[in-house]
Amino acid sequence: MFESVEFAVESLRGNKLRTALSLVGIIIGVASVVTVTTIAGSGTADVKRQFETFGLDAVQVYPGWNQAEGKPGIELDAALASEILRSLPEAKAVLSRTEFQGRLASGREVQAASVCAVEAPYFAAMNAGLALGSAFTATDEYRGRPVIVLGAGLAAALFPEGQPVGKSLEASLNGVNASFAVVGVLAAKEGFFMDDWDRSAYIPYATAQKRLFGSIGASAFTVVARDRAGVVALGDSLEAFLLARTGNPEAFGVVSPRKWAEQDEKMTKTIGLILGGIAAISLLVGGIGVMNIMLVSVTERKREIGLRKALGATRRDIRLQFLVEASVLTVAGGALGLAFGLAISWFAVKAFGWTFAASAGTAALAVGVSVAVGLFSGIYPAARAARLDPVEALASE
Amino acid sequence: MSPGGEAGAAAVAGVPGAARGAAPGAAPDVVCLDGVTRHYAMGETLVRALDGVSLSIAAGESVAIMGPSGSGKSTCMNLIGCLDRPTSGRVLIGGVDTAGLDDAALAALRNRTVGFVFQQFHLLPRLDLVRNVELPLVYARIAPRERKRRALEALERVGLSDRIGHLPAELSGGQRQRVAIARALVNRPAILLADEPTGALDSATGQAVLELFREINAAGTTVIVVTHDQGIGASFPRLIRLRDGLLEGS
Repeated sequence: MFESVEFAVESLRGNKLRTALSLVGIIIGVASVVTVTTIAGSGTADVKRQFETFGLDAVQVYPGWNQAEGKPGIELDAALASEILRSLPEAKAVLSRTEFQGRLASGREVQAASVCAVEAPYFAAMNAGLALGSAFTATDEYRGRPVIVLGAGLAAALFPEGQPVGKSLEASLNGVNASFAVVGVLAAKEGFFMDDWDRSAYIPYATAQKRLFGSIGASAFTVVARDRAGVVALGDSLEAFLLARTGNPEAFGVVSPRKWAEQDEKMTKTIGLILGGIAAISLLVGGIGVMNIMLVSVTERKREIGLRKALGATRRDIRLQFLVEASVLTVAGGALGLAFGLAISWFAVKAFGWTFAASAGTAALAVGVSVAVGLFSGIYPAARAARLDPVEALASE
Repeated sequence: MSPGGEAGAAAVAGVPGAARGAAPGAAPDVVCLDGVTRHYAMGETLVRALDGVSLSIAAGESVAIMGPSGSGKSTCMNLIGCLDRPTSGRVLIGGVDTAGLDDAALAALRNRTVGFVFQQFHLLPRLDLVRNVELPLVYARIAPRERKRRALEALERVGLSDRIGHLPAELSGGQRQRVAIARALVNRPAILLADEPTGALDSATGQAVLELFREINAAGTTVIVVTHDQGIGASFPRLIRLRDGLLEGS
């Protein structure tokens, strides 16, 4: 076996240009396989991460704008929230949220910020962790305490010296001034869609209602699913429920990140299938190229085959020699293809702004595919070589 | 004991008939053709390359097989070299009937029993001398270190120890034929089978090759040379003449 590999390398080195040309198809094929799997892998990982920042286990409901009447298409009030909970068994909770634009001041520092009034379970539903301190408690909400949780960027800007938890802030929201005690700081979190977590601050919804503005309508609902598996169905039934209620698909918006993620995955798979098909075709063409070159090689080396047989090589020895030669050829092509594929996908992934995620599985796939193509395209030429009659082979020119 | 004799004994071992059939003290036959025919279909016509040949060659003989082209001498060589099987009749090489052997067994018999020397040398151009000479040992599944040792020994025997790192293209014709002879001897065959071994050489170099054959034969290896050259044929102790697929005089 070792001799066969050695012989194969010797004979391929003897025909460098031809060897290189015959490898083009394999290189392109393996490079596309590697590129496809790497880009798809990196992209899927990235999209998943983005959706996760949004909270995959919840569905967002926004009001649309009724242009004819010049008001929101649907009122996100407490009555609607309890009706959703009553009508949709897959919904565990409906969390109200309202955003205010305003200014926050801590001694010397003043920052413009969007301040969201949210309910305490919102953080968990949106996959937002606390870096310092804690979120609001049920007591905070019940008593309508003036407490505030800051996004990471905002906390750093307002308290450059650090230690924001326990300090107080002066807030001016929609013309209402109030003092808040900082109870927590969120871990840095990538923004997605219309949320900028790092530049936002969060106060209890009950506090906004009871202390600051009186009765307010929510600017969005976060509807939490009873279980993970049911979140896509929850999005669908919410849409159906709101459509039945308003009779107008423009009156509301339902954003279901899990559904998007799944659609995205499906699209990635489809693109992967198409590119995989292209890769398969180039591998087939590459394999035929290698088969052709092996057939030429068998014809050219008839005398060598005859000699080896005269010296005691069995048909099996000859067959093995040519199979190994074809495999060495395609594995060399596969290695080059792997290198090219990784290089191409590195640039592509950087261009998309994703994180490069190459897997050992991809390398194994490339090597496996090239060995398979080598064996596939070597079988026929090797069988032809093995069948040669030694007398005729020795006499050939 | 000489290497040739050793291999000859090894080749007939396990084939009781070959050794027992010989008279006590007499050398056993390493080649035995019994009523051998070999016919080819060439298009519509049937070519009777060999048409009933019986001959035997004893271990340690030095024999020339002669005849003009078309006499059947090449066919005869192919049969003795286990490259071909007869249409009818029996061919025994080292006491083994080649008719009953499958491809692998025939290849193994060829590998152990016959060392080929060709007119055009047939060295592999990309392998250095040692690697070329090692080839029969690769197919005999000999371990690499032992292969190298035996290849160097064979190259020394043909007087090329000083050229071992070279490629065939860097040698003269006579030197190349010596490499081919070293390769033929490396697996210690009972028979050295040469096809027009001096055909591509000038006469002085050819004479040197024939002298080497005499030395090899003196060391115990049976030497069979196929040639159309009268002068070369006459220099052998035994001459077998073929004409039109038959032994001349039969």
